[in-house]
Amino acid sequence: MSVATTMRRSRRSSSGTLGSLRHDPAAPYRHLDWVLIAAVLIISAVGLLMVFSTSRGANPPYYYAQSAKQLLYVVIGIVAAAIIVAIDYRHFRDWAPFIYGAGLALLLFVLSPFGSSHKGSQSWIDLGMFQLQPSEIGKVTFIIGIAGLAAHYRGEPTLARVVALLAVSGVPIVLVLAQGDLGTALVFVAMVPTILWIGGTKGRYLVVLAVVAVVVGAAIVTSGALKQYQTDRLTVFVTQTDTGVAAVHSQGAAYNLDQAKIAIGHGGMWGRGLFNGSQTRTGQVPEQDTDFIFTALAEQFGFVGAASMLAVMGVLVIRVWRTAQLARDDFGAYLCAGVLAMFLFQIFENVGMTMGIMPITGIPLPFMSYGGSSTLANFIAVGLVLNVHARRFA
Amino acid sequence: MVVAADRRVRFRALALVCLGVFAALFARLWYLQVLNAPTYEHVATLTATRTVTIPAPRGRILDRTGKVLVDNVPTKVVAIDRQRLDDAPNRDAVISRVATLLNHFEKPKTPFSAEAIKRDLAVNQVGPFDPVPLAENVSDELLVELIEHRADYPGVVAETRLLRQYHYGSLAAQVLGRVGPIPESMWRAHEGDPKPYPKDAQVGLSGVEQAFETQLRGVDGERVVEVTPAGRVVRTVKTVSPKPGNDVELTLDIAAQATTEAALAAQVKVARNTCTPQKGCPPVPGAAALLLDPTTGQVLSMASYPTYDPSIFVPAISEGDWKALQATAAHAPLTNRADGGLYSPGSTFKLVTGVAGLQHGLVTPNSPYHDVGYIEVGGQRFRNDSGDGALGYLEMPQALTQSSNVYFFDIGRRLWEGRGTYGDEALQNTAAQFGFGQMTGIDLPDEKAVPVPTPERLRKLVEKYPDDYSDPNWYTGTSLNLAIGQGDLLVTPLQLANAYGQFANGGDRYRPTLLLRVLRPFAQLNELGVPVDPADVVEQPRPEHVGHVDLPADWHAAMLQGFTGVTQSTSPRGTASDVFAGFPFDRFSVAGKTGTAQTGHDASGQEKFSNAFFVGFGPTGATRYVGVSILEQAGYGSAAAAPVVRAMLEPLATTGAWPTVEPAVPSSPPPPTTSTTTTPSTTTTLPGEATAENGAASPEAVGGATGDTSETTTPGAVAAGGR
Repeated sequence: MSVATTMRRSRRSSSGTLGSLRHDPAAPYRHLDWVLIAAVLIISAVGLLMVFSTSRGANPPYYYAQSAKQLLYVVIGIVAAAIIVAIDYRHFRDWAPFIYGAGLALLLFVLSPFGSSHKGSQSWIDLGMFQLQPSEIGKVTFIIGIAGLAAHYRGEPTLARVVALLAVSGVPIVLVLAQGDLGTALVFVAMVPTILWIGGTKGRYLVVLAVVAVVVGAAIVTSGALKQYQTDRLTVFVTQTDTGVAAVHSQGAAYNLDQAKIAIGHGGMWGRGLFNGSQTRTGQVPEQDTDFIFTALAEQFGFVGAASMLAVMGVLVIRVWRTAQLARDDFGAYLCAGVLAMFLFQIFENVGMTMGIMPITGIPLPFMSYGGSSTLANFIAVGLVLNVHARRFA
Repeated sequence: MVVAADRRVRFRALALVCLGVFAALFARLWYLQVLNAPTYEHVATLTATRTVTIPAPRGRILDRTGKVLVDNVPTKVVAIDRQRLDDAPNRDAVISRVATLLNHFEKPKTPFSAEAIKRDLAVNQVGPFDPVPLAENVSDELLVELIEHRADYPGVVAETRLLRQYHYGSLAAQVLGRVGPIPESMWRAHEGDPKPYPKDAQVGLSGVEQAFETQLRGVDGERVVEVTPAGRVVRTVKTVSPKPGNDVELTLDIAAQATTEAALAAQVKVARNTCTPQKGCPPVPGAAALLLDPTTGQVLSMASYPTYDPSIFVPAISEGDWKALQATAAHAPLTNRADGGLYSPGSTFKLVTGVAGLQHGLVTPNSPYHDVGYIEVGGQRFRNDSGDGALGYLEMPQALTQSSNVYFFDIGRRLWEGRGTYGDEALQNTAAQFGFGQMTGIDLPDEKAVPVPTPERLRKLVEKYPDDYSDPNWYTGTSLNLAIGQGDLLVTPLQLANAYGQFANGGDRYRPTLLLRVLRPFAQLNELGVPVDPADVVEQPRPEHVGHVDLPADWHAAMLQGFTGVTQSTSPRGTASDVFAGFPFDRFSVAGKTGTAQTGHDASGQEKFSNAFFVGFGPTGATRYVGVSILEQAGYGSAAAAPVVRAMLEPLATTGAWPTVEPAVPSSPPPPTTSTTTTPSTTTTLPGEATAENGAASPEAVGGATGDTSETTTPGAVAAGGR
């Protein structure tokens, strides 16, 4: 198959570019996944509205600066995605080691004295008007790197190959953990077994891996390596009491979760209406414009609105899943698998934590939460998937 | 490579995981939003929170000796929250009741009426979310009454606020400036700041209050409280204590300021009573005076007449007071004429013309000139001031002492006629070297400056405003007028003081400043106004050198001789020698220059009274003081303004210091510490309203200004800032 690919590519490159575009039924632009594009744009638009509703303030004159910034991030993201789609993803396979290396360098840089600290995590690079969060961008470079290495190992992954892949994955994960960003590290962790699974790794290897992960995780939580607030946030969903007036008096991490649940529950079936969320309008829910933005959606638009948005996110995930299957080569399939794991984990973790079924870790809801780096990373990831989809015949 | 069938199975498994994830999310969402909605709806009403801003006390303003000019005083204020009053079913009845209540307890000179209160509510002198203050310094009895009959007064709030207190009454009113509700444009400009303003912030709106806003403003604290729908506070979620702003120590000496303002007001009165049968009495609508140290640029006093009492802006100015200040007949008391008033400098500009003549070799310090009383240009005679006639043979010193127009006309004429050699703007260039035509850069926000007229500017003005300017040509006569400071040339008293300071310094000019240093709040100062602990100094500015002009010793000596003669010479008679008769020159040698500038004609075609300028400096040789005074339309001759400067400088010659002035309001002792237990402001919201902590506060708690723990509330204020 790889021989055929090479042949087809060489033939294509020898014909006139314009002519081939006009007549080639396999031309990438004919095979854009419009459903995926529509899903992403819908989520981004609703996300912008939510950022505005949570940051504009309760009374006029309203704040616009933050929503304007998020709009700018979305535009930058769309441009970035378009650029990514334009470059044949198979080039990324050739460049994979370098892309992976560049991501690693960014993660190292942020830990150096040049990085800046924010909310207990040293995970930002201050670029003046814009603070770059390399762990977000690092997710995408990580996917390319791991997918590239996995595709390099043709045939069933042997134990040695799996160990090599785990070793290569481990370095950035440790770096992100060293920044104090547990949530993002978990996103990285989720990608590896997904790519391994699609790559054909024996089920028993993965079971062993899962057991090791649980043991290591438990060891970390109990060893005291985490700061107290991190442990609290991880364990509060286990210790939570259900609703009730007692929630009024909750403190610390429980306060966060209780306020989120109250806001969601307050939305009811139909929601309180746009700009009418009494909990999310007045700064009641902490981090309501970033990690807890789902509470704003749920309070203002209720079960109907929130479930609809979850459905659109489901469409997004399924389209990525579909592209992973359609990919014409392993690299494309692994890329999509990595992106799928990233989105699926982030959606589950983020929405789950606001509703008290997942531990609280600070990760953004894709395309909805306020934040430049994560918005950019998500658009680049979607660009990769669109790229694989568009070139499945080319 | 993986077998295709195996991969298909693996993809199906992955799809199952996705399905499981979304199923879990939908199920939980259903559980929270549909099954448990009633419970959460109930809890949500229980837990409405309010973010209550605890405003930071604004920094104090001190004079150079450490005397407190402006600080804060806790005052009990009755105010109306418009939003909640409008929600009340019986709005008009509430307003009438409040008016009756205030009249009964406060017995004001002008009684409150429902109509007046409604006007005040509509005028919106405060921010849209600020309660509108009705009465300040109210009695405890009134507060008790309000609390006991709270249900009758929805929207009426009684609160303790920190208000600006002016210890020296109206002294330096325009310099100190005022504080008021933040304009929306300013609020928006700071929207994305790390330290944004709350919507109801009080900020400096003019003068020093505005100039040093960033230093004076503290960091507001906040308290997030959870309240029941009935307004009872369930608990405090978190409290952040406010940090008071820094104190600003000014270069002003309040004693010098008092002397300056008293002399200025007295001389205005004298001038207004110097009447002639022909022209009547001079109106003297405005005046200004200032004193600065030319070696550092530090302003010691700065006065503008007429002035106003800044306390009328506290807590908010009434409609009547505002109209009175804005009335034409009031002659703009809010304007600081010392740095914002533009006047023709008249003969005081001869400093520049003289130096220009020397620079271009048109005259030497002792080149003789025959003053025949006029100079003829283009068939038109330009004369000395009426009464001077022909002054005969004179050199630079006598020309300055007697203020010969003709001598300086001649320099202006030769500069213009020789423009092929000296350039079109020879005189203007020298003016620029003395700082004219540009802002001095003083810290005050409302400083003004206009460019010095040039042939090119005149052409452009004619193009731009053809209706106002008819003739685009610059004639020799135009240069002559400029040479004696008439025509379109306009300067501020501050520019003039700084230019003469530059001359007195031997050519170096410094940026005028009002800032001596910035101090940490309530820093301990010694009797000279210097902080005991150097660590209390937040900012200590250095003199800023901003300009230089070469003044060779013989030029300087000749011109100084001329300026000294203005005040001290009897033969030839100096133009201000009468005013300075009897001044102890042996102890403090004063030099100076008079200036008179025509101000055009009034509506009926009669020539208006001239503006009178005087600039004096001393002690000559080692000048530390430059004083300027200007009286608008004061009329009688060039010496009308000189007595003000004499009064400003004479105490230095006799006693060595200005007479001390007692504060109108005695200094309050500093608070013990600005710890977290004292909050700067106390609010008692009357019940039925869902904001305040003390919905059921006892009258005692309201009466006590300190020790109480509530604060001005911002209904539904925003806690989340932009990031």
